[in-house]
Amino acid sequence: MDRSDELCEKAVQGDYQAANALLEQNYPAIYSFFRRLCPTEADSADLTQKTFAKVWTSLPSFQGRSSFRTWIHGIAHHVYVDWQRSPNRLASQPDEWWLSCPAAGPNPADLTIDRDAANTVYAAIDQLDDASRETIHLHYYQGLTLQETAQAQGIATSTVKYRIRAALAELRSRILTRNDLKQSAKV
Amino acid sequence: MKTEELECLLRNPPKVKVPAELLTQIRQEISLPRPTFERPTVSPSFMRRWLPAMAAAIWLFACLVILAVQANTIRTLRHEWARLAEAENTKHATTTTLSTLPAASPIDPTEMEKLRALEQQLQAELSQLESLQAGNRKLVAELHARAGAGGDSDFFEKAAAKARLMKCVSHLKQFALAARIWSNDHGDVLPSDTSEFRDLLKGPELLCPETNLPYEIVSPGAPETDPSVPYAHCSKHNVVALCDGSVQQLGKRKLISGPDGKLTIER
Repeated sequence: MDRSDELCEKAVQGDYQAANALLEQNYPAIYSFFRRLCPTEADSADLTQKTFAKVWTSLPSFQGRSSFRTWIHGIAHHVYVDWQRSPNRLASQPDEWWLSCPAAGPNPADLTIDRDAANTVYAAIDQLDDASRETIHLHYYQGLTLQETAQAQGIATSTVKYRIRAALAELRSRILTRNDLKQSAKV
Repeated sequence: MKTEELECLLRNPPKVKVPAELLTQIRQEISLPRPTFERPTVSPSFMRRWLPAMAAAIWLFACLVILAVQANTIRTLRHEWARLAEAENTKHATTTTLSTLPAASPIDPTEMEKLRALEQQLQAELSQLESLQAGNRKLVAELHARAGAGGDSDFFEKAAAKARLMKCVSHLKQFALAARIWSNDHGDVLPSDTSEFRDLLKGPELLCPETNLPYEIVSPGAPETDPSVPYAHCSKHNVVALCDGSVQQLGKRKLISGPDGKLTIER
């Protein structure tokens, strides 16, 4: 049994420490998920709070058919979809926000891709349609597998594969177009 | 840019600064559901478990009983109705038949009185007959008793002789009466021979019933005005018919001739 499942069972029985452990375990990923999708920190914090509020109320209905990580991302997905349908939401992340974020892993320059190219990719992702963008976020940013992504979004795994393949093709075409424009500008 | 490079870039997204205040706030907002305690399952009692089903069954049974009673009542009423209808039809037919009959003739009250009187008379005779039968049975019983004692044959002979005597008296009286009727047409003189008024008598009245001999005319041609003169005589029973038509039993007396030559009864 996964440790998350044990903590979940204890939390269902009213164990506050187990619930706190679940929160500390999943809070950064959920907040990052919302922060990358939402334009402001306030929206991200609000959606994170809503997500965990739903987690506590829906905890007794968790039956362990998927991992707790997948289950909580499914709740976050529904919260985000509801928020998207609200009329007062703002646009997606501006490019400036991505420039302010510290890059993870090795330096992009070391990977023969400069920082400008990375920002271009992240900005291009934000230009994708909502479904494909969320799929990219869950699969790549949040690190869910294809099956977990499909469960979180409530769609088939084949649909996830299709969306990823289409999104990557779209990204490649956009990056190539932007590079061409830059090169022509330099010339 | 190759797909591998693009995926590598996507798998290493820029880190997001996670606010610690939000974590504290969410931690304070943890509201776990209250632990649910399973209530001990107490098996309900037999009555409590089966009471709804039993109530429904009892209700259904009561309905069936009511239906049966109603059906029985309806059947009884139908039979009663059929019987009354049949009786009504019979009554109607009788009334129709009586109405078609001719009116009965009125009964005469006097005839009714006669019939009632006759009925009473018959009833009286019937009761008298019963008493006579009872007396007869008594006499027969007495007779049998006497016969058992020994003098039966003498008694019966006497009775039979007495009956023959009475019958002879009756014949002789008829004989004298016929002679007087004949004398009315022949100058009040009685006939001197039986052949003269034979047609006025039947055969048996001319003979004694015991001896079958004709009566002896002892005073032929005697006038009927003298009642003391004997006219006919039965020597067997010593009975004599006088000229006035009366008959006397002489018993031990005899007919004797008077001083004027006329027969008279010995005194």
